[in-house]
Amino acid sequence: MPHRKISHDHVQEGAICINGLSFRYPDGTLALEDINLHVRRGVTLAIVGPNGAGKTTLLKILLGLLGGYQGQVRIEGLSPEAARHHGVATWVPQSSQLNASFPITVGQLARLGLVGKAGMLRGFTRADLAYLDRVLEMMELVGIVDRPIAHLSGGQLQRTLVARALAPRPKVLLLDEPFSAIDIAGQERFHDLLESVKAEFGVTLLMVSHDLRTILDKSQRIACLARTLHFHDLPEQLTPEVLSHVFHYDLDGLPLAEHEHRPGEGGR
Amino acid sequence: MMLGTSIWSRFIEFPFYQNALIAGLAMAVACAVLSVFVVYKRMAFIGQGISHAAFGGVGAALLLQVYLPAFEAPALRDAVIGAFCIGTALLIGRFSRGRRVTEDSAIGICLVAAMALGMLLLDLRKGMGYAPPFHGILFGSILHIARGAVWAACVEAALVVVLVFAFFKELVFFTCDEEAAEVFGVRTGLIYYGLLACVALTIVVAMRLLGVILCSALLILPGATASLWSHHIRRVMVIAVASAAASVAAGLFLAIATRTLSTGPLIVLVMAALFAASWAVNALLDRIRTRAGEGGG
Repeated sequence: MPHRKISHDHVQEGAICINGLSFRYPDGTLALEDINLHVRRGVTLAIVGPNGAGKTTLLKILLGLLGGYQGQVRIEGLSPEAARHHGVATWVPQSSQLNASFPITVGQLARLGLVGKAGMLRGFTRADLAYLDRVLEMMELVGIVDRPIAHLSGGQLQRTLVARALAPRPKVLLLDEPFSAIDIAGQERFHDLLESVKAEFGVTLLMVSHDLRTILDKSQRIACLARTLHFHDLPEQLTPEVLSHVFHYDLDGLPLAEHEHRPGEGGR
Repeated sequence: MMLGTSIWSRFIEFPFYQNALIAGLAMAVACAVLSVFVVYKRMAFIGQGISHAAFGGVGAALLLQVYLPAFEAPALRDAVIGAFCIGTALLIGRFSRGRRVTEDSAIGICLVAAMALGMLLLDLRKGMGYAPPFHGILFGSILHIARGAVWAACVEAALVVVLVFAFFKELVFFTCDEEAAEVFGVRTGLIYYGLLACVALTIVVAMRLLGVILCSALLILPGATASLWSHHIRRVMVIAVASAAASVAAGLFLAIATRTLSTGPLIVLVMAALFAASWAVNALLDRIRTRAGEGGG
């Protein structure tokens, strides 16, 4: 098994520190096995892996939505639940899970990021709204703040979701398939925006994707996940052997959806 | 002109028409406000499920009357029916929240179970003598409500409006993206059960006016109609309330004018007609816009 040992030199200053993380579903299936991952502050890390590799499970654990795991998970020194509670780590979900027919504008959707920070029965503070205005400007959304989300392009909606995630001033942004709803031309521009956001607000970016081709040149470090981490380093050092192992990984012998990557199969 | 005058004079002459209008408008406001969230959260079926639970409540109340004559008092009977509806609402929530079954299945299961229970309890009661029919529960009796029920409707509507405004941002977040709402610090469980409880309470009160079969219409049609006209949440709320209130008023005055037709079904048909007209107009506008777009370039 091509499994590289991960250097532990950044443990102290890590934005995300995961030690010996394993997670089993209630039915006994092992979803994640002995994950060790240390992400420095201000880095853009991409976690790639095929469908069913445990990416969503890992994301949910990092967001504090899934408990009952083994091992230690720390985000900026906090437990995932605490990090979520204090708005230290926020989330840019796939835009497809959003109810896009809901009658809400770009500005209103972005403000929802402040709902937890404001608390129940309270309005948003002026300082938070001023901060959000800066974020909206940064994400190039000022011209369309009053546009209903039903009338947005994939890229515009994705930028709105990033603005919502930045509203509570997080230190870590977790992005789920950030480029999948954007056309090729828009992906570069969206990537540039993410980089300027990182520089301006000093956030750490963790992106999760099944689409290696899109994400490879947009991240400083890359990790390959197929139940366990198979690689965690600079993208240039990613070898075809690691990739073929990760993307052909069978879970309990079940053939995965990525048939076209399987050598020797499919009419070629 | 003559017809209009005679309808108005009859409305002024009989207090029960005025009671019906006030209570109907109050329920229109409460249901319309909730219907926006019910429709966008895709739980339109919830009204059916909760209102049909009333059958179980009626059966239980009728049986209780045999042993405890106190339950012949309308207030206590309504309390039993209300407890059944709210209990069913929370049960539906509990079933679907665990994600082991989907919400529509949970609603369907609770609906048939409560109805079957109601029928069996009624059988037991029949074995002990006369049992009043379910008729009032099925079709409501908006023209036969007491002053007290009018007040109850107004208080309930005010409560719903205040709660929805107090938790507006949480409700909006919950409705448009529940999982993200949880991540961003919304207590989604509280909001979900709170919404279910509000819907159940509204149904308990609205049922006396429109009946089991028709009151869930008030929880779907205003939101559905309004959703055709705007992409702005506040406008959608206003249009929903306005269309529901106009339908209640129109249905009631149609009933006064025709003398023989029932108020509840008239209200529902006016609402359905408004929806159909809105749908047709919007489809037409879309077609015109598309054609103009093609012509222009």
